[in-house]
Amino acid sequence: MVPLSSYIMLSLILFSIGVFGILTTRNMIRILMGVEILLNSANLNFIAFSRYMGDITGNVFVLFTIIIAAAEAAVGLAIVMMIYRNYLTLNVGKIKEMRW
Amino acid sequence: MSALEYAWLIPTFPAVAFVLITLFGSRWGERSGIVAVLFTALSFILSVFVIIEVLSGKELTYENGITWISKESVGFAEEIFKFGLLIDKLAAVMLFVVAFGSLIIMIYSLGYMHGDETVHRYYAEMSLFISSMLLLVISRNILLLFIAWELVGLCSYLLIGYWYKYSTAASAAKKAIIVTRVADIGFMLGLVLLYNWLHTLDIVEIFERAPKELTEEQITIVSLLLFIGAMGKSSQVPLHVWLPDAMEGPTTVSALIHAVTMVKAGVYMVARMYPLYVLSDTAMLVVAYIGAITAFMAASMGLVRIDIKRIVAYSTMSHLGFIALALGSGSIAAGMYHLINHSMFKALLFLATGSVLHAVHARSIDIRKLGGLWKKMPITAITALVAIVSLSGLPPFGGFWSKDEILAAIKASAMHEPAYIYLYYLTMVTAFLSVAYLFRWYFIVFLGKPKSKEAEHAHESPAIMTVPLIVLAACSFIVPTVKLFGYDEVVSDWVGEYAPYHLPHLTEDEHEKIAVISAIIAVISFLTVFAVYYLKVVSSETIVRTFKPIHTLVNNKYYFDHAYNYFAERIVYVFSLLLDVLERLYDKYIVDGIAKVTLMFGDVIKKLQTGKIQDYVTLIFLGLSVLLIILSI
Repeated sequence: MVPLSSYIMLSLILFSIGVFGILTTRNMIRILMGVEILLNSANLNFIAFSRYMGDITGNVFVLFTIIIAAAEAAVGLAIVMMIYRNYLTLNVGKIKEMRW
Repeated sequence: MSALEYAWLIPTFPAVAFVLITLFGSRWGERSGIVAVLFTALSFILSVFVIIEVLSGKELTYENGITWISKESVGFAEEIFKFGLLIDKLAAVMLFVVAFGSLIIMIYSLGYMHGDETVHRYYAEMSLFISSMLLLVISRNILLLFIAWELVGLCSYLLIGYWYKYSTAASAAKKAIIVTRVADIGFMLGLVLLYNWLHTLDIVEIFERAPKELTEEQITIVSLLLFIGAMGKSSQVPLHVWLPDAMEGPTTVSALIHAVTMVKAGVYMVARMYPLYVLSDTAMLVVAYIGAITAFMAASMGLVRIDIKRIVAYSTMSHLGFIALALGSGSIAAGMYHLINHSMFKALLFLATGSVLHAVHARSIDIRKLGGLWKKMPITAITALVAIVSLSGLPPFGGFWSKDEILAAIKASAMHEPAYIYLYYLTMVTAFLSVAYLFRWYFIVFLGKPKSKEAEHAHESPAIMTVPLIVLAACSFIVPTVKLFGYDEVVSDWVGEYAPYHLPHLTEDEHEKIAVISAIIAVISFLTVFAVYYLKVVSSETIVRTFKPIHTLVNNKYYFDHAYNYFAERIVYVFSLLLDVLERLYDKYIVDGIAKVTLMFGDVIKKLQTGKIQDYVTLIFLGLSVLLIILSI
């Protein structure tokens, strides 16, 4: 049986990859992908602990997260579409309207 | 069915007229006058029933009425503001006088205001004016009285400034409301103190409890504070300056203000609170002195004015002084008797003046431009003569009897308080003057030859104006006879119920002596004026030259206006300059200072707002890391 610590290590690694992905790229699609990885690392955590504690609540949470992540991805991609139409670029460094 | 139970309708009718005319007046135009007259007539009819029932011995004292603020909503003291009604003999008589005077003036207005463009505004405001005065008369709670009091003040402001396009009218209206507002501070302080000490503002309850629960000093303070309010409303020295200027409104407005509403409200309030006043000798003496001084000053100023309406205005002020003097001398009966007399005569005199102004097409006019109107407008001339002989107190007309009562009351008061005796002599002088200035007015306006084109082309006013004049003139003969029905006992009884206060009784001889002296004075005064202005034995210019310093003093209205202007221009202005400097400093260093500091911080912090998503994410994760580190320690 795989010990709990392994799951947590994997989750941590996934989280770090996600953060790295968000921080190092300027491409909006990649940033969205990073966010998805973050979410899944959290999901993994939930599942692992749910199994470890013998409690079903974690599983339920993950189901919710997946559904909301789907919706979020739709909204996120829609935003990306609109930004691309208006600015003809996906480089977030060039979109600087919302600042002082 | 008792009319008394419906007494609350009396102030309601004109209020309804006010609402209707405000809503539909612009469509009705001049016809709104008829609506106003109808509703005033309803009030008058009801007030006739009310006075009949009250004089036959009934009384109405609604204690409860409407509860404005109850115990639940404030949590202290029970039944704080219960707006009840109180219609006893005093209120019923006043109610009748107000309703009657208002009705006559409203009917007269139909003729006088004919052709004015915004006449519906005039009728709406007049209706509100009458309604609030009627409410003032019958309220049982001083707070309700105060609300009506302020409404009366507001309406007088609106109506004095009715012809607001003339700057003099606009500033006269402003002057009226500012002066009375200053006086109302006194009234409000009185209310606050009274409530603080007695925890009630119910008039009847105050009368019952004040003698037992308040010290004499407290009563003196409260009554004098309330009297300050009355001084403003009833234009007593030194708060009289607004009244002569208030002549800028239409003459019917002046008639309403002078005869039944605004200025009568002040003295009526003193009469209403009379059981409180009689408990304090000091307060009575102050009221009497202020009244006597007002009467004298106004009479002397009336003697030198040349504006047709202002002379009449000073006459009102002088008679209000008489009423206050009567009240201060302990005779509410003489005071109210004079008040009723004055209401009739003054309404008549003002309406006659209005008739003259209508004939010469003027808002107001220099009396020296008139003359010879006797032949051209006989009805006006005769009714004006009736008003003047009654008002000036020539025997045997109404004004003579009420003046006689007042003099007797002063003399009686002097028996237990010697300070009153000076008032007695001062009032004798005033009596001389009050005959003189009114007949001077009459001789110049109606007799002699016309001295201007307008006066030559004058013609009698239409019937809608002359009929009210004739009715009022008839009343001026009838009203004095109420004395025969024992009116003074009726009113005195009412006071006696609450406060046993009896003037020392004058013997018949003494009373007769007073009557004879005052009759002689009146006749001498009349003959003097007759000699100067009709026979022209001495020209008035010669008299002016002989008494130059006195004439200058009186002609400048005893420098009251100068004093107030000096106060406003120098003292208030300099003080406000000082405050201006302080405010600028405050603005510069405190208000602007706070803004500057905030901006400085903003300049520093806004640098974080780079607009790059990576920066924000970095910050979020940095924050998260810090949080985690703190939690793990």
